[in-house]
Amino acid sequence: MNGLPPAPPLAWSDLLEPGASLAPSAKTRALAGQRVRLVGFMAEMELPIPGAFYLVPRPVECDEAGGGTADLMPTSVLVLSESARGQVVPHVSGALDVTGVLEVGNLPGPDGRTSALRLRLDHGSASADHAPAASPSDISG
Amino acid sequence: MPKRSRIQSTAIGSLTASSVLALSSMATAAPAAVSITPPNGARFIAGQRFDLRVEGQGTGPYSASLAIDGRPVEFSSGAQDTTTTDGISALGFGGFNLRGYSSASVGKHTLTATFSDATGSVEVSSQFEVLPAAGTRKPIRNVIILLGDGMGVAHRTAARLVRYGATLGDPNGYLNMDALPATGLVSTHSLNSIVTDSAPGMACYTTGTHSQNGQEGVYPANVTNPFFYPRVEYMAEYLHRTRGKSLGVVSTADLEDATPASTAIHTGNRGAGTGIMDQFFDESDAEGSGSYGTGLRVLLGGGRRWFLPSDQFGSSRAATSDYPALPADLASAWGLPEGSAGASDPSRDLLGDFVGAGFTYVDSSTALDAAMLAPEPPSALLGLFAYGNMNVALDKLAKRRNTLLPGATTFAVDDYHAPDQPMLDEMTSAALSVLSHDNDAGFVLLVEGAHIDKQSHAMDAERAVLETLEFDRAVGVARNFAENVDRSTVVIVLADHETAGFSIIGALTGTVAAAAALPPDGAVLDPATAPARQALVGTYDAAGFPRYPILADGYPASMDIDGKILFGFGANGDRFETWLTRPRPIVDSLLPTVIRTELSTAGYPGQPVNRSDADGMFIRGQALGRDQAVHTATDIPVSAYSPRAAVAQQFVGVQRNTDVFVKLMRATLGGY
Repeated sequence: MNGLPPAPPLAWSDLLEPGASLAPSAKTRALAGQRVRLVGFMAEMELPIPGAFYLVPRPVECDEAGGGTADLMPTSVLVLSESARGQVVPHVSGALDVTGVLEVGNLPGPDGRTSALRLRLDHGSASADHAPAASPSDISG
Repeated sequence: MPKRSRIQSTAIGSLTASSVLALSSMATAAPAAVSITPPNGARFIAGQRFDLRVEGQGTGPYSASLAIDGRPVEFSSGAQDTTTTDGISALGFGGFNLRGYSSASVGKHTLTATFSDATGSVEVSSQFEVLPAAGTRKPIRNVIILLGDGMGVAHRTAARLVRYGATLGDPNGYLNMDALPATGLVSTHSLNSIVTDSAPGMACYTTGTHSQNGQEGVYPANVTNPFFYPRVEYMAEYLHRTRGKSLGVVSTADLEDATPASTAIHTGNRGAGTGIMDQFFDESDAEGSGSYGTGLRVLLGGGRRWFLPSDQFGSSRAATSDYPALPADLASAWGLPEGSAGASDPSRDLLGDFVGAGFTYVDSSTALDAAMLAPEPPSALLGLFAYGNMNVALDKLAKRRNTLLPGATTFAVDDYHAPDQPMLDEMTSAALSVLSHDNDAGFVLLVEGAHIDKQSHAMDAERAVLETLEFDRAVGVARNFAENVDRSTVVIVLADHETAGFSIIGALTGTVAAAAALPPDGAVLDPATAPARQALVGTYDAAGFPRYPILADGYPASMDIDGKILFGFGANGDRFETWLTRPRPIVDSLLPTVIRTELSTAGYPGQPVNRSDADGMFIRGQALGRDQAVHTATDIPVSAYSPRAAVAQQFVGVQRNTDVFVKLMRATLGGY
């Protein structure tokens, strides 16, 4: 769609080591800095971050005025869009197929929120109304 | 609040045409926004500490004076005739503080202050009242506050109906909170609105004073950091300092959330998670000096993300939500030792600090059970069962029952990397065991059912009812403690406010399967056309008596039964209503399969995430366009129990939210 080669899909279940402790999996660490493909849902935020949105494996609503970001899953991926820099990305209901460069590791944002996983979108790669067939593991992990 | 310009009062005797003009220009040239803290009408228990502050906006240099009942008092900070004054006032403001003041003189007291800048002076005054607390009766040793966040009367009724049903006009059973003998109503307004949020909503019960929305244990002020706001002493701080009591905090929310924080934290920003969690520890008096702090010994809930150093994966700690060293006069007046007076330290290992101070740390239900099975309970207990909020009861139960919810392929608790979470009654039981062990001084315990509010905001009635049932089981644990373990206890059950205008409107006519099979209603927007789902609402006689099968674990087998109870929301946001349990926001049911099918068709337009929601009938929100209901200003019910009936009976009738604090304090000081 954007002239770039296909990126390897990354399943939600592959992002972190299984269990209660939070640690990026070996696969995630190996893919850091490389283009990956994720299929998930845009978290509905009360206070969206300009130029970005959280991609999550399950539909989530956050009530930041009430409870901050406490309803986001640990596997939430902050998707950053250069083309939307400084603008609020309208919420999209439905699965999103996103491709971009994966970043791993804590990074405080300008709004004070810290993200552990980020994906810098390929320009024009986010598609809400046309996504290739996904394997069952892509969404549900 | 009466406010006079000193210039006006001295010019009255010599008015001429020119002096009137001069008076006008002089009168307009005066500092603005001059205020005195505490606000008029504030009430305090005798000996309860609070900060006084005089501030104003204008052109420096600034100066101020303060008198209490006509007697001048000295400020603890604020250099006179300077632009910087106390060094913490916001740009364009001057501020003068008297930190850690208290009075044992029962009655009303008048504060008068004069604030001056380069242009003139303004005099302000307010009144506060000191209430008697101590009495001649034997003090109550333990206070247990069970707070169902957002829980109004209708939430309680709904939970009762789901759990027990009704027959021929009578409930078939009663909730634990229904069985508490004393019931009253509580107004819920905050310092700045008839509609509160959870920060002042809880702080009014634990300080006896109104706070502004979004603020906890402080009065508003124009200062450079919200943790520098003028403080009011918490119940836990007062009773720890004067009676050696301990504090326990239990919640199903992320522990930085407003309700748990409003037992111990002083901040004008309820969202400052790093600072809030640091202050829980720093002002806990972990070393047991008895001279400051809350005496925190139990802290159970979610929010592990605040306890990990900022460079650790999953940490939410950040300098922007922390606070630096507190002002020297604040730290001194509140008895904070060096090391407890704040620091901007996002890289801090807060979990290590708790453990190093003797807290036993558990991160799962299994670990909690193991800790409580030890020959002696821990002397202090920290339980962090999720990285953010704990999961809702529906999702915890699914994992415990090992039964995936319809259409789900994974358990939500696993997706949240919190696979083994305790229920609220289990957390309450553990907290009581720890707090009551080898503790003759007693304790203050908060138990919060946090998700009643959150699910009501989401207009998810089924989850909100299940949360109320989970909360009610914790009430039973508390009642049993008061009745059979330590009878010198008062138990109160209440809410901070009501959420969503929750109402019970009828029952589903027909079957759930038939409701699920209806064609989509989402496009029916013409008021003249009735959506198919509107016809499903059985009102009056058609509601009948729904009965929910209850499993051995005490919870319904399913919230989607034929003839299920139907709920409405008077303070709703926009939504699509299907009358069926929603897969959102936590449970992922049919959606992945549906999405996969759709994605396999090239060019297929994107579908709403919650396919069943889109099929539902559209209901326009009264309060907000987005999909969130809001708090209401409705009074909430309070129920109380104590083996000493005179204590519980204090809560009968209609009362202010701050009255609850006064009554609890009097109970602990021998007033009843």
